[in-house]
Amino acid sequence: MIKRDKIFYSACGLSGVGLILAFMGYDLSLLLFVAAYLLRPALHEFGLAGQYVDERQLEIHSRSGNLAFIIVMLSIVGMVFWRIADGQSVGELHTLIGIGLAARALTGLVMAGEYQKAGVIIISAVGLFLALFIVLDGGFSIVSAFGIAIGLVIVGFGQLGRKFPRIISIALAALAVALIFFSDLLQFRRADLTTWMFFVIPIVTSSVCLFLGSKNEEEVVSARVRSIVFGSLGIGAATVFALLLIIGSGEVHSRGKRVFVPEGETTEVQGVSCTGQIEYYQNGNLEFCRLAREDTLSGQSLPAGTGVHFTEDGLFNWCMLQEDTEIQGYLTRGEGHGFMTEFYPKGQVRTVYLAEDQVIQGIPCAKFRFLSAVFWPVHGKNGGTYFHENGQLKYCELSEHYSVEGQRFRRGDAVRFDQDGKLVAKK
Amino acid sequence: MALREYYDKDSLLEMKTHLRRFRFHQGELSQLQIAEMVSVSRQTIVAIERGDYSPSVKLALLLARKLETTVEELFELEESDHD
Repeated sequence: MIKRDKIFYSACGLSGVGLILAFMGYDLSLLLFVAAYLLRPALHEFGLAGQYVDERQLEIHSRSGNLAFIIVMLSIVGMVFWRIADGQSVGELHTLIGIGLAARALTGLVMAGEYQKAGVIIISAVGLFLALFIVLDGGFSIVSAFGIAIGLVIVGFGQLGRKFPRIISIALAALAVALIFFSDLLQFRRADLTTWMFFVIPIVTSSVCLFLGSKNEEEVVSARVRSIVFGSLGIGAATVFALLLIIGSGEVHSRGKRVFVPEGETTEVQGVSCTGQIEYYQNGNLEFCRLAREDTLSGQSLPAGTGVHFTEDGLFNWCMLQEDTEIQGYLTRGEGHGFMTEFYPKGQVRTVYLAEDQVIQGIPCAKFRFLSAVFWPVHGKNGGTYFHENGQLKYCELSEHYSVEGQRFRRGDAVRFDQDGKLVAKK
Repeated sequence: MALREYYDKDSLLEMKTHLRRFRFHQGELSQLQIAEMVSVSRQTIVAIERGDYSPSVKLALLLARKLETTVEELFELEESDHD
């Protein structure tokens, strides 16, 4: 039943490496097991499997893939409802649903073979998606109007692609490059996942489709060119995703050893109850771990599962909450996007990402809005709320029109205060 | 499950294959041998002979060539009434 060919042995190799990594406690092993299982259908879809897959196997892969996709999507939707019922946040699950549906739509459009049409539809969808989610996420403000305008410009680009496919293709390629560099995406932070998956990759795909489809009707894109181009795109997307997983997961860069404690087991490290992967500095001090149970650090009570990080001197300096949690009176975002809630050495909160709009010291501060933060290289606002060491509000973005010290600010504007609470500058 | 198409509201088309007969006529070729000749798996040949899988035009032409016959001799469509 199992065909022993080069693909089979390659998959065995991947599984073998995965087993070794699993034994050493690395989560990356899961990625390798999945890659081994999907190697044959993936290679075929990128035109690289050649004689190793016959047509009936292809049909079975295709049909089982469709069924599996439906099952996975329904399972994620089910998990969304369960988590909502439990009062837990579901941001990451929404992202998974979005990635699944977008990937299916995008690949289906490309496979239909009408590249120019596919390019126009993909880029128009990107623009509409951007405009829609900015409205849903933040309502109407100067910042969101700017974002909506960009979304509509992108839709316009898409329509222009019908008449000037090559020019628009080049413009989109330039837009993707600009987005990568201005948003500093080459750092592959976890928070960049949505930007890569919903914007950069679709924009690049649209650019490629418009370029390929710019030939006149009688010229057909050869199968070899198709395989190379879309195979490269697929490998590129997979590489980006892998880098986001590897680098993003290791944003806590341990310069010392790593120890893995199985889930459900606890180990006390320098007074902290840790579980899962524990990372140390070279001097042996604890750098990062997840709390096995509720614990109090620098006077701050943190729930089990919180990722806690220490400086090399042993001071607790930031944490990653697993769910929205009240920290020193501020409901703080947790779970997806890797929110780092920061603390001063003596325990006062330094940085939070608010889970809801909140009036802080009389100032109506806005909750974190993801799509506004995507444009931080343009407007300099990342959606965080900052405090001085004495507890005075230092910076926040307004949730409504407001006047401070006689100066009028609009919703979305950033306000800054010094340690005495005096306004520093208008933005 | 054999390939069935509704030709019109009153009839059903089924594909029948004579692949096994032609295999034996060509020196009693095994399923594995004919599979290797046309670069597919043995399971694919099994599925074709059972009527569970309809080969692509390319594969059907390849099979006909290797078995020194025509596609029409190897495969046929039979109408049957659907109640």
